[in-house]
Amino acid sequence: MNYKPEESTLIAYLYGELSGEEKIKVEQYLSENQEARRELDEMKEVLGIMGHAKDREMEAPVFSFSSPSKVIVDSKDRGSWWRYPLGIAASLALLMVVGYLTSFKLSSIDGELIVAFGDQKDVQGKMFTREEVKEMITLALDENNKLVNQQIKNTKDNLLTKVNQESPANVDQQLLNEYIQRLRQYNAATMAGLLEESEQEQRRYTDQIVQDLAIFMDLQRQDDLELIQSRIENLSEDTRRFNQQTGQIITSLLSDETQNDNQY
Amino acid sequence: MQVDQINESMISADVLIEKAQAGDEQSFNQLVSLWYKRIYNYSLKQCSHDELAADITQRTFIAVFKNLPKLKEIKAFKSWIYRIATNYCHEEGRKIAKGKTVPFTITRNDDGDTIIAEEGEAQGIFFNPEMSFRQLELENILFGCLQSIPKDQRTVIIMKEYEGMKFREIAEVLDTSENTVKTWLYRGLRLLKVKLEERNITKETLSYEL
Repeated sequence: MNYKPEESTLIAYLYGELSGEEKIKVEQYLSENQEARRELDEMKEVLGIMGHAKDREMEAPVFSFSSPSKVIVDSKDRGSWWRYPLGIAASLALLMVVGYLTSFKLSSIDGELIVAFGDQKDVQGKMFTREEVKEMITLALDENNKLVNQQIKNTKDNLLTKVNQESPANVDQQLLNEYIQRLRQYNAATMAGLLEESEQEQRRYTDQIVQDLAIFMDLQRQDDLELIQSRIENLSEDTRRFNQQTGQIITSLLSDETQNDNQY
Repeated sequence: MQVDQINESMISADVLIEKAQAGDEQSFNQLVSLWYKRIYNYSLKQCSHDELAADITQRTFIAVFKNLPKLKEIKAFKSWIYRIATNYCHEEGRKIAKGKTVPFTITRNDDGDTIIAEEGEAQGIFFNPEMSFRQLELENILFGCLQSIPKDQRTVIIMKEYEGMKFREIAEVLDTSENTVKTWLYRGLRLLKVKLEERNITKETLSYEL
């Protein structure tokens, strides 16, 4: 038998995708061809070995995008273990360089801590006793109190003068009269304006009412006329019908009379 | 099993993709959490390098975000995202071949002694206390073997065996025919068998060691 399946066909067989005649053909080929059978078994074995690899856990980061062109990835630091010690070492080295450049000095003599940039200055002679410090504080407080008192006094004086200047007794009588006069004039003018306005408004209103009344009367008259006309028409109709009925009755009476005449 | 879970959640994933396309940040992040682990594990098998795989995964999702509005068919999302990740993996592979980046922890050296020496080194990068040393060792060798076979054959093997993809889907990602995919798989598995034997990994040694 010359049949030799293609590699793709063998893979399809391996994954159970073949059926029917094709499957039988491949199975027959494999039973006759030991080499091909062995190769396929080996492949199954490889797949079995591959199955030992497990998925590793990976936490998804949070993507945030404020604008479409910019993507920010907020991921947990996957940095190597040596990053932190190296960072600390670098910071220390930087501090040392800065300290050297500014000739930073730190020393302790007789319980005193001395921090200095450059040469240390002698500050031995400038020590103060407890009393001296107390006196200085009292002096400073006194001065401060004086200053505050002075400021309070000044403000008080200013306020008083202002209040005195603006009291009613000092206002000019004539000015006040003028003001009242002007106020009265203004009020009178406003009142006159208002009255005039109101009068005009009333006139307009009255005119309107008169007009409306005229229209109303007209309409009313028309309605009345129409009513009278229809009544007259009704009356004439009634009269006509009455005449007809009378005619009919007379005719029937007459025919009855003639019938009676024929019977007897 | 994880692959099945992803397939089950595909229905809601379609909605997520639609919303993410419209620029919904929350939906995009849900999509990321759905796919991140898969793409990471896929990249890890492709390049056999922990940090490189994490980097490729991140770049893949940035590319996904930038190009998502251009994706016309939502159904094609799966093959689309695998294509992006595959391209990045192959790109990195080329860089490494040219010697531009750090070489893989496990080299293509066939000498058995050298491998043992390198495993100690590999422990630092792949270190994970949850995983037994034997497991780690086996994975390192396995991924190393995968590295030593041609990239198309490797890609097909990973997609079929680890990603559980159909031949049709793989053909779509790699832009080729189903028959070619099957042929690559056949040749890849045969080659992988040889490589594993060279590193003394067979069914017998595994059952003895594990």
